Amino acid sequence: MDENNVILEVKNLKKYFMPHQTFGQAIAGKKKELRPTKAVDGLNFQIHKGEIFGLIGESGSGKTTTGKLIMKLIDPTEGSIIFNGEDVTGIKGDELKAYRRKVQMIFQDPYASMNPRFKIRDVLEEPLVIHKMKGDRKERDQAILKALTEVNLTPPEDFMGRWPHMLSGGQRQRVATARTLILNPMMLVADEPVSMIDLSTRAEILHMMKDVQQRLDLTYLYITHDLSTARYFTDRIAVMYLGRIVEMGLADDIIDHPLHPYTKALIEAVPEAKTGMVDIVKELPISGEIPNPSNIPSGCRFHTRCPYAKPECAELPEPALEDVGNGHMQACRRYKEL
Amino acid sequence: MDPILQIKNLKMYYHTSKGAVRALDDISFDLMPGETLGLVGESGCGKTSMGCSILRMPTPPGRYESGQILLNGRDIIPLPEKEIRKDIRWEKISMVFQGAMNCLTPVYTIGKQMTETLNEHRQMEPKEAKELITEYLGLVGLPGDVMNRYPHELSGGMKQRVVIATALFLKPQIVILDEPTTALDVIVQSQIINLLKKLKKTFNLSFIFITHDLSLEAEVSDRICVMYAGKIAEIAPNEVVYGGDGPAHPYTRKLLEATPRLHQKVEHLNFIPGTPPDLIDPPKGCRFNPRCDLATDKCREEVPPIQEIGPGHYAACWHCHQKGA
Repeated sequence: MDENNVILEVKNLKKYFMPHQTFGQAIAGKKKELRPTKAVDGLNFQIHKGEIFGLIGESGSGKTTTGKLIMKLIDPTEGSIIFNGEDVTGIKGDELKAYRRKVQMIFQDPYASMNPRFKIRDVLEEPLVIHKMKGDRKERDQAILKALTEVNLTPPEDFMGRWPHMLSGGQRQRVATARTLILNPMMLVADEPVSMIDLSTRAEILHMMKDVQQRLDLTYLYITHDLSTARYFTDRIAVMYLGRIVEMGLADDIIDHPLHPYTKALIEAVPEAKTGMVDIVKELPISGEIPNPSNIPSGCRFHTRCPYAKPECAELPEPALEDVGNGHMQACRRYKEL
Repeated sequence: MDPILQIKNLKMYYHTSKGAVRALDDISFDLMPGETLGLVGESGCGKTSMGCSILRMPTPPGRYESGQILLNGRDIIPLPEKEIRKDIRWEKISMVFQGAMNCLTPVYTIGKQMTETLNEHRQMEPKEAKELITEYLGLVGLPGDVMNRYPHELSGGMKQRVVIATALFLKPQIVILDEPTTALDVIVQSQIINLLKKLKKTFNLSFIFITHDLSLEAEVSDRICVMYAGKIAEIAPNEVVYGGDGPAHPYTRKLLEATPRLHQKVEHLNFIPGTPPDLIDPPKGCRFNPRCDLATDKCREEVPPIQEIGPGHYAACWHCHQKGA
């Protein structure tokens, strides 16, 4: 792929959260070694213009932290974020405001991300006011009408006067999308946008988001733990485990030919709508739960849960992502044997 | 074999200031011993209302209007509350609530919360109680020292296991599971499902498994009961819904089409336009008619009765006919 096509690049991105000394420790005056929580621990990826990039992992794998880092809601401990050729890692003030206009976010919970005392019109007007985008009320109203039409909330005039509580979860998520579109962004970060929505309308929302993306030539970073919607929605997928990417590539490649044992386990665990499974206890090729990110296992960080782990996996240094062709990268030392 | 639980023409309405919300409207089904019945539908279709009604605790302002809930042949609706508490609730029927991870009190240890249930129902020495709790924690795959921990020290999956253990340790015959895995990741979800399957075999339990995810039902339920707007749309065995000709009712078919599949590349996922109707004033005739492609004048006028269209396969639709006929 063309190098100039990269809209967002993340280089060796790290975010460590330092724990605070507890009250008891402070009183006792004990100097206890504090271990940082390594939420994101060395991320490298590129997102190309006009693509939908999926970030997948269990809770605790650091995918939401990555989203927040990209939105510049928190500052990274190390590493850099390059957007459209410019390093945005340390930007502040007006530059940050301009960046946020270009990169917008859709949150997980459409019930919590909207002020219940704002009418839909006010919800959509606020970003315009903050970014001083349109001169007068008339122009703003026009922009709001356009954004509502964009997300198929028709007739838009009707929706402008409504309160958030009058809308269903799906409609709220449409409003949330309209709120981001109103600023003409280049990229959207969507953190589990459909996980709180009923299955019957999930497809509708994803369909609408894809439609908007194609029409307006947007780029999405789609954060989720749901592989089935990721396959339908995304072009490329990166699978995260404990703050690092373990496998990355085209969505179809990853799901049809997973190489890393963690990806295999994730895929195996997804329930399938087929008969004859009721009496079968699925043997999962993974054990236990995700380790504490303040105490990351040595060597390959997956070895504690991996059914194929050998002593060398714990002893040798962590394997790096390696390209196996067609842009498919994976980070397992023994993938060829498995 | 006699069914362990029979619901007969059950009606439960929520009496609000705007009128009666017909959350359960003429529901009938049977549950066999050792069977898992899946209850599926969109939000607001009455799945959780159904679960709470079986435990004889409809959320106020809900009231039973008519019908029977027969547990081992005995109607539990007219029983006094005292008897329900003593003999039925948790003793015979227990429930794992939706968002079970949030139903543990943050200020008590796991052990204390579990002992509370036990003290209410059984006279037991503290030492005995401790042994029993350790045993049940072991059954759900948790170490005994979890007893001394607080809920915030446990992960979501562990809390879910604690709640399942609490639902089981009075040895109920029926366990109602209301979206037990919705808040969990796929891997933890799969682990919990495996656990439930093992426990079901060990104790010969009957499950009522409530979820909105049809692909999850495929893995756990022997029979699937699809609810729409307070009524049963279809009851069908697992192999009919997910194999062969597929489900008969248009609503079930649409739900199944809207379920994303992992191992199929689909360019376009179908969805069901619109939302479930307002149950204060539901549409005339078949309640699904405003969202149905097949709706005819008959559907808009007359309520379709639920009828058997194949062995063990029931549907309430004017367009579903007996197979082969």
